[in-house]
Amino acid sequence: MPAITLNPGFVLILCALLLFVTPTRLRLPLTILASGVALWLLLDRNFGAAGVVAQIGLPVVLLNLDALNQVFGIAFIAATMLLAIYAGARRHAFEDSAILLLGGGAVSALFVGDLISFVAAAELAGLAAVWTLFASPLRRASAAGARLLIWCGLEGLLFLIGVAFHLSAGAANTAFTRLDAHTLGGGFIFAALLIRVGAPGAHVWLKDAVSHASSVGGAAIAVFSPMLGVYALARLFPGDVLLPPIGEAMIVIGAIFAVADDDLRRAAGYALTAQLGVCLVLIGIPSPLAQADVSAHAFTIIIAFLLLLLALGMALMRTDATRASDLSGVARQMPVTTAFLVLAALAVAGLPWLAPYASLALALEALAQAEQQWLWLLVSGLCAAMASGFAMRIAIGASRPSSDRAELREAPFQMLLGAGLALFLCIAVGLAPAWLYALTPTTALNFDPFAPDRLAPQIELIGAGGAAYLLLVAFRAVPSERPVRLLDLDALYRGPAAAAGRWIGVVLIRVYGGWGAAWRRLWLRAGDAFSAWAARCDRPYLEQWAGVAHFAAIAAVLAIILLARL
Amino acid sequence: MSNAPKASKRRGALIVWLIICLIATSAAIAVDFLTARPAYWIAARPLGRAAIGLAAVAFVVIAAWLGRFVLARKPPVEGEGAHAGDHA
Repeated sequence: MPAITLNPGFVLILCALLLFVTPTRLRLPLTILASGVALWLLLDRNFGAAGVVAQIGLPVVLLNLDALNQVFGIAFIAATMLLAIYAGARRHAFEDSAILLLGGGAVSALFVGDLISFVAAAELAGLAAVWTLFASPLRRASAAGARLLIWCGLEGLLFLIGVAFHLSAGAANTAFTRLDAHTLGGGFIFAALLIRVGAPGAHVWLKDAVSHASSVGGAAIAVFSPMLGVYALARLFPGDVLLPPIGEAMIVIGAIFAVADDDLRRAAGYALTAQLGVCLVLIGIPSPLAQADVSAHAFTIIIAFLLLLLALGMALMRTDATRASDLSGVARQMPVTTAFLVLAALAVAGLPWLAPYASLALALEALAQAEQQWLWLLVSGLCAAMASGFAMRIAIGASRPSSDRAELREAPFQMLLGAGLALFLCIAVGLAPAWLYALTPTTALNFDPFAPDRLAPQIELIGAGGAAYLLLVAFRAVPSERPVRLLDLDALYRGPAAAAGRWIGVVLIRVYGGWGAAWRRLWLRAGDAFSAWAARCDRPYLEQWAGVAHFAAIAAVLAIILLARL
Repeated sequence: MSNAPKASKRRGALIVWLIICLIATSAAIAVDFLTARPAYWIAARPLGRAAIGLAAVAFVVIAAWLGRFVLARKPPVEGEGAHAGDHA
């Protein structure tokens, strides 16, 4: 029987298009079936390239499977299934289709083997993310979608310029393998991928999109979009010296805003930025252990942030807001959601026996082996900061009693089921991470994260940080929770820059209008003068000298024409 | 009358979490002292990770204060209630 060589992402894209005409009841089974088929196509193949065709003289590789994209593929398809289950609680065909198209585009981009196909699939995923935002029922989501579209357009432009420069070096150079960020083509592609992962300066798109998308859309954007960038950086720029400092900056910026922002979905976006910074740091360390941990860490944070954003989505659905200052009474009235929230936040902090610990322990080991002291300290500190400033904040905020809140119910069963399965996956990977290590590109990875000399220090780190934070809360040394919005870089282009743009636009419109009016007046006067002259030509007898002059002029013109014809 | 039970409940949750953290930290520190550690840099010293945790909390608190002081603005009235309507 011949093997099927179909890119798994194409199945999801096809299913996304079919969802438009599928009855509501069949949408979930169809999505699960498509995800199952995609997973089967992914696992039922040996590593290597297939489906190679030629277009305009360039090789197009539609399927190229290896250990790196296999790990990301499993995580993406598992996330697609969980999102479909979670989204089954509500009816929104456009958003379902957009999310599946986002997942399908991202999975397709993982498995293509040439630059042009990657750019096409990645941009499809980017546009689907914009569509997901436009489909959100939250207010200001359309404006956020327009902003994401601008980021997406900028990224696509950089991709196209980079690929064009890269191809100009030789048509055979379309293989999706290692590039040099210091060449012109490589530099543009590197810049495009930095936008995709939310590097400093471009980090604002992630929290903006996550906080304005719907509960399921925000999780989908967070899981698929930046992780595709991490995959591409790991594929194209492993060991690049520019990545560790960029990753460091992402960790610091993400941590500062995650612990200070009142809106927990924005804070989750910042926390994701910090963890993406860890991924970038690992990609930049040229050691097999660090390179192996890139895919492992991406896998675990996909699961953890999926759980976190699904749990926040359940809180959003019932309380209409996810502000830390407005979580009062949630623990008593929505205990399951609160448990999901706290466990997800602790998972993000790297609590042992939850998935991200397995990869964070490996990351610390890789950084220690590479003698990267300050990076090691930064990643260690990030765990404690997330445990105290994020997880403990949620736990304490949800435990606050509330007298003025209306009675809350838990989210619908399917949402609980989706989040519950994400939690199950998070705990399962956290308890038995050996199979995840076995999937990483480094085959002989023999690492025990539960060795006492690794487990105890991590508990010590998180426990001491949590206890110190709680004591500071008890003594009111921590700022009290109140509804605030933190300004970030986007405040510049959404505030003063947008106002300046509007002002310049108004001035330009007025200048254009004034120019048009002046031009119109000029032509009117010229027309009047011509009319007057023509009238005088019609009646040369009115003014003797003028009539003679007109007659002479017309005679001269006629004479010139006649002479010219002769 | 109305504030006392609220404060006690809030403090109750805080105390429960504090006890959990203290027990976990104590057990981890005990293991840290008892095991031979081929650990790295600061972590090679007893209580090294706890010190990092305390430093991180100091960073968190300073970041929270500075963030609120420098960057905080009053949020717009969101009215996100439209979200609840699309759920079955």
